[in-house]
Amino acid sequence: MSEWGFTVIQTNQSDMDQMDRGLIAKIGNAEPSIFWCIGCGSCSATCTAAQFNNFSPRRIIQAIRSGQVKDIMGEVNKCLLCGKCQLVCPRHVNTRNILLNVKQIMGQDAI
Amino acid sequence: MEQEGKKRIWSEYQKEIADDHYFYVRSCIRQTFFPGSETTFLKILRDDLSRDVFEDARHTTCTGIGYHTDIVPFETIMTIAARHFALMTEAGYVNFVPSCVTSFGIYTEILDTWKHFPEMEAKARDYLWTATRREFKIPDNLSHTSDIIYRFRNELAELSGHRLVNKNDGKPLKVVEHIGCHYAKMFPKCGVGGAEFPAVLSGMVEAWGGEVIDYPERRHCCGFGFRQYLIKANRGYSLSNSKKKFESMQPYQPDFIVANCPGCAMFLDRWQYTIAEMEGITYDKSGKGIPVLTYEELAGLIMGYDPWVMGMQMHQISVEPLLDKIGIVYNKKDKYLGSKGQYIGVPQPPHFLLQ
Repeated sequence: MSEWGFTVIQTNQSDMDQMDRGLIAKIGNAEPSIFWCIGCGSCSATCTAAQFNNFSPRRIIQAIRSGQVKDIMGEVNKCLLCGKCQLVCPRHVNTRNILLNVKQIMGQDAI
Repeated sequence: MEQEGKKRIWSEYQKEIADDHYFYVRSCIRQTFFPGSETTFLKILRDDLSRDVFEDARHTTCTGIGYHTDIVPFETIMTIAARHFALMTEAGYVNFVPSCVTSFGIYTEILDTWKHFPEMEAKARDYLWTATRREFKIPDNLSHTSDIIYRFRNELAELSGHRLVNKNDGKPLKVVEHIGCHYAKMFPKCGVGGAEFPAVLSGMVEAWGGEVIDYPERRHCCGFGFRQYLIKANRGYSLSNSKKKFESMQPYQPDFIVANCPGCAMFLDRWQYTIAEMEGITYDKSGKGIPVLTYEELAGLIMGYDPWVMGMQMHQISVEPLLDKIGIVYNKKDKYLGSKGQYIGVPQPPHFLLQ
């Protein structure tokens, strides 16, 4: 690519054709506060795990809500379940429970 | 909806296109990319349709590329447009016909500005008089060259020797029509069909026997975008726009793309090569790419013009598969001969795109 000096830019748009609504339906039942999220990123800013890698609870919630769940399990496994994200959330989203449920649901789906 | 209602609504999407006596202004980049297109337009208008077309060698670039990259200020481009209108006035014409969609957009923007802000027109007149001692009349009619071909599409269909039909199976060729953003997205009333239902190219394709493909990203920008390609590091944005369109049109297996904007035709043609070199992808089954034509080239083909005289050997994507489908007879040996019969050389073949 370097010989060109530019390359194809990956889109950040959500592809509606690739949406998987299965996970949000299950998580929404188990932890309805996922729908209260306004994507402010307070959870990601205060996350201990995120200090050491590119983990982001905000990005995971966004991915679940937009149905882009293909690579989500690898991300969720970076969570230490410490719950600091829940303490700082201005919307009182139970982020810890959301991530715990993702682990459980996706783990079961894998089985 | 009743037919009468449909007709009434559609009439609101029409524009007036002059019938004859055109003051023609060329594009500054088309003759490099698609060298025979403008000559083909003039030949069709003058020889086949017996229309009066005048062009003035003193006409210059409209500086639209400089304007859209914030290098040329509005007052400057306004004065340059005023000079072009002055050349038209001096020649005794009232119908202004630019060949470039960028220029067409510039002229529509300037005329609309003058309509709503007469003090800007007065300023342009003052600048022009100070610089050149020229005066001008505002054109009675401003039409893009694709509007003119659209107007005469049925006459051309009657005169033509070819149809946009696959000679092997008798089915209409599947055509992607791409309209430059500056044709009608900025000032919808200035384009046939407005910004929502632009019919300028689809009208030609249907009149000449082809089938227009309605694909999801049909109205997406080609990515030309001025700033996006002028700076090398930004060209990924331009490339990605075109890639998005190619991916969207690919499932419909188009036989070719036709565009009415110099930049669109250029980038939809050349970026196919770039994507193939970068990622090893082509967007047709044969691995040769999707041919990209200007509307003048398309009109020329159905009128039986020689593709090599129209400069179609300058295309990145080979046009021979399309010519074969339509049944156009051409001489392979003439492809790399110049206008005086001299050998002009064969370009180095790409790594992935088949020739």
